[in-house]
Amino acid sequence: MSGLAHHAEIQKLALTLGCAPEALSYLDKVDVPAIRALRERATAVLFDADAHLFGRVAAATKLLPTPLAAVIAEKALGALLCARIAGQLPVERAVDIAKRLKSGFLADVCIEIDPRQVRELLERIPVDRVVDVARELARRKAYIVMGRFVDCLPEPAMRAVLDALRDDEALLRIGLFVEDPAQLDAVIAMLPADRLRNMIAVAVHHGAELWGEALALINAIGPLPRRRMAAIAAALDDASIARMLDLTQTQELWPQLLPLIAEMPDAERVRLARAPGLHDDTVLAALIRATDSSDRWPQLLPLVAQMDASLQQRAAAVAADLGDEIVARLNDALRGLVAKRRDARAGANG
Amino acid sequence: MAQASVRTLGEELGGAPIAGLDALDAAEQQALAAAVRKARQRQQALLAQAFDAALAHLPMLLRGPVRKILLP
Repeated sequence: MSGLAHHAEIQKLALTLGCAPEALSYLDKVDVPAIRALRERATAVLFDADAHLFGRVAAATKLLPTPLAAVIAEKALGALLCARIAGQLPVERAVDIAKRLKSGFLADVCIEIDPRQVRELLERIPVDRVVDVARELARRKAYIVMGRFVDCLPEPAMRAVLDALRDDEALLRIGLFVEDPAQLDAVIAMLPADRLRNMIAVAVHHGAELWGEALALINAIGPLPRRRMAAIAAALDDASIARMLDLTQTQELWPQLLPLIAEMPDAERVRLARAPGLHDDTVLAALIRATDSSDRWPQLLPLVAQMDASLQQRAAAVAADLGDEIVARLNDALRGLVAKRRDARAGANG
Repeated sequence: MAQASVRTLGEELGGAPIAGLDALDAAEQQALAAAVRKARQRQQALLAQAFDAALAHLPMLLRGPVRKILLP
């Protein structure tokens, strides 16, 4: 189970239930799909419990002129009730009211609302209002809420928000809470390389926790954006690469980094293969052990192939010290790689 | 005991039991059921407060009839 996905689900459930994530610590042993199903059921319970009342309030609201309805919404109904009735109002009416509400109040409503129930409304809200609200939510560090909206925001609004939010650490943290990997792929495609580079650099330099989460996020996206992120990560400066290897070693994240290493372009991967951080028997042993236990030999071999001869010999000696079984599996992987290359050459020639 | 707490959680959430929640022991299922119950109570309290605040914007004479229409 991904620690990141689990952590994110607990936080989302806590937000739904209005309690502290720590109060739900007993859910640590429950898997992610069950926690997600629990949150969806609890959301439905909360929305359905008083649905008849929300419908009546929505109907009553239709009788009021829009300016008065907006005043009552903000001054009397409050964010929770507005969130519950928003989906029951005709979209045009809801948009007209929303346009008159302050961004701070709309941010309050966003915290209470299930964005999946108001997709049509989100498509009609003017982009500049969406940006204002996104800025306010980012100021409050409401990353869980923002992650849920990424799943539902139309592309023009998404682009405008990405352009307006210049805090790349915030973007990364929001990304951790996006549920639909296809949406993450779309967002990454919208971001220029320099911002993606900065997000990875922030994750590497911020501290252990964020690097682990960034790796989990990169492993959750599709092959094309993952390859793009891998190339960008491999092209970071030497200090960042050293820090990346150091964090990966101390946090035991080799199984998460290996898929990224395998996706790196050869010309950039060589920088990792020659990084001083790998010239350490303890690091090599951890890398080989993690490769073996996660059965990722095909992902490690391209890195080994680019090590210089002395480091390859050192790695072989470390592997030998780890036992015959590991060496046997390494040899199997090498034979598999040789056979694959032979087949590829034969295919190209024939 | 475990069966009873499953039912309590089932009553709070409605529908079929959620696969995977059986990893929780009876006390944990009760805690979860209590958390869902509290969330509903919190929502109901906030809604009642919101209705009162909304009605306060109406002329005194209208409040009773409007309350009756909205909260029969």
